[in-house]
Amino acid sequence: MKDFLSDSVPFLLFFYSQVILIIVTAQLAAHNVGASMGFGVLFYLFLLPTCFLIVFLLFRYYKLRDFYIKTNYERFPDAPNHLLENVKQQHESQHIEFEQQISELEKQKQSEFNFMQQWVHQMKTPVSVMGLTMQKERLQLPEDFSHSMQEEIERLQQGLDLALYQSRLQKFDRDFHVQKITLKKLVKESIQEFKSSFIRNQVFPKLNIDEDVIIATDPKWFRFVLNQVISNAIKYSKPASEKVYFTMEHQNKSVMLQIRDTGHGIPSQDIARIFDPFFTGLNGRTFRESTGMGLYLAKEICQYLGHDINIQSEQNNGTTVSIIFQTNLTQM
Amino acid sequence: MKKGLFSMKKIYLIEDDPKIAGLLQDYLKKYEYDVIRAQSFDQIIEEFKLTDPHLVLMDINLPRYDGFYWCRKIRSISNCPIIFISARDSGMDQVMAIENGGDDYITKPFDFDVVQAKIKGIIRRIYGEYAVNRQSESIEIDGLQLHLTAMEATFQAKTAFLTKNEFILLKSFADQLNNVLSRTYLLENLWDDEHFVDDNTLSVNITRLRKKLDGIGIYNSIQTVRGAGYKMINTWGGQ
Repeated sequence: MKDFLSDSVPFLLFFYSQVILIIVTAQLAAHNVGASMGFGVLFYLFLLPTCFLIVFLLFRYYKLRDFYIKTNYERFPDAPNHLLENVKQQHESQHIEFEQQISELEKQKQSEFNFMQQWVHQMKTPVSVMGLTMQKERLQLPEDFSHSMQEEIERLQQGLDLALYQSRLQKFDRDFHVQKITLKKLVKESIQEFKSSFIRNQVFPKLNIDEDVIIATDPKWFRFVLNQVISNAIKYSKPASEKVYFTMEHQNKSVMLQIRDTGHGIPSQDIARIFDPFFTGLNGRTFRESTGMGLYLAKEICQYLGHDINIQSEQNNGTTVSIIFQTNLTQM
Repeated sequence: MKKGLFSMKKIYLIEDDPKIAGLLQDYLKKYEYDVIRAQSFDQIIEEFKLTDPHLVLMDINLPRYDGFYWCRKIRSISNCPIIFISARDSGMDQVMAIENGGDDYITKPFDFDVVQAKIKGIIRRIYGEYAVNRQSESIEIDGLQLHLTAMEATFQAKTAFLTKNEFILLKSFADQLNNVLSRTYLLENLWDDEHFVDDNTLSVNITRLRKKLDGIGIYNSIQTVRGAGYKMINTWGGQ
């Protein structure tokens, strides 16, 4: 209502200026013939138009009211005049244009996603062939060669997984399926995947997790997180490091998994940025290039799954990664 | 359906990548499976009928029609167990595999051991305990006998009772007599998926094994090769 009145001010000013003009003119005309309109007449000359004005204003307000209401319309209400009709049509055609653009972008994104999934799965085949051939020829090949190739094949596999999960995370509807699963089983499966890597790097896993601890997570996505952590633990272990320790702790309404290595650790100036995307820090540059994306993705995934992840580290002493699972869930 | 005791088990392998198919075939042959590779990816059903296998290994990404399609087709004429192989690892793919009639699923990249173990598991489940390819009960080299199920070694009427790790080592050596086996190779064999393995595990068990072999009259057979690993040579033959 206030807006309508403030919009009507120019019109009101004009209206009353004309009314006053007419009254003054009539009064002058009356004076010219020696008469004078009495106060009552003047009053009526003023009052009657005002009454009709009020009715008119009410009528206008009723017609325009919808357009004064501030809400988020996707569609404008029916326009009471050409001006507003014009505005409405402009708005609508722009809206349609934006919708189309968004739709196009979504299709492109889906297309890129499909390509990435297909490509990664295709690439896994030649990598498999290389791995299987190495397995087959193992005893015929010099050990250094065999180790070197295995290491590179593993890097390829990890890189492919990184690309795969990165593209999945970009999707609007990520396929998280949370299940109840035994923590120990998950950890063992991941350790198993790194069997060759542990042995080649002469650092060995030590597992200390209760049999009966159950957590709620998406095993496929979480396995990626675990693999990132284990891969780093092995990569940054020192020759003197003997073990990577997997332990757990019961806490108030949660369970904490800890993976600790006794390797090179993370320099203190880098720790705060360790989860940033594309961050490689000192370690990334010293110990063969890394994409800087692994921990970033791991943290993102943990956030979506409702787990906390943090890292403590001391340069030259080692690093501990802690992941905290909530266990006070009332429904799955 | 062939159901003979101890007959060689036939596997019909439907994989269009020739290298993977070749590698799988070579590997499974060592475990005494008769592996027949699919030749024409238009005529899978005809080949299947001709082959009459005990088990099917099927890749999902095939030319022409995909693995799920062929699985459904095979299912309409047979209950033969089918194991899918695929790079696709999403939960949905595995669900689809089962829904389309598959019995199990292996993701690439895979370990030969995993493939072999799954095949063995399914053959046992479907065809019974006796259908499983029995390894020979023992290995014999010039009078030294390794009894595989009992985990014992006998030589000239003396028996050494070995622990699991000692036995794994002895068998690895026996399978590769005179060949140098690296520390990493042996550690991989010793790896146990509950307790994993340790740097000490190898040295300790080599020492124990040597002692036990001494005990039955096999001396200086397991040799340390500096910088390379260990090897076993036949020091008892010709006695």
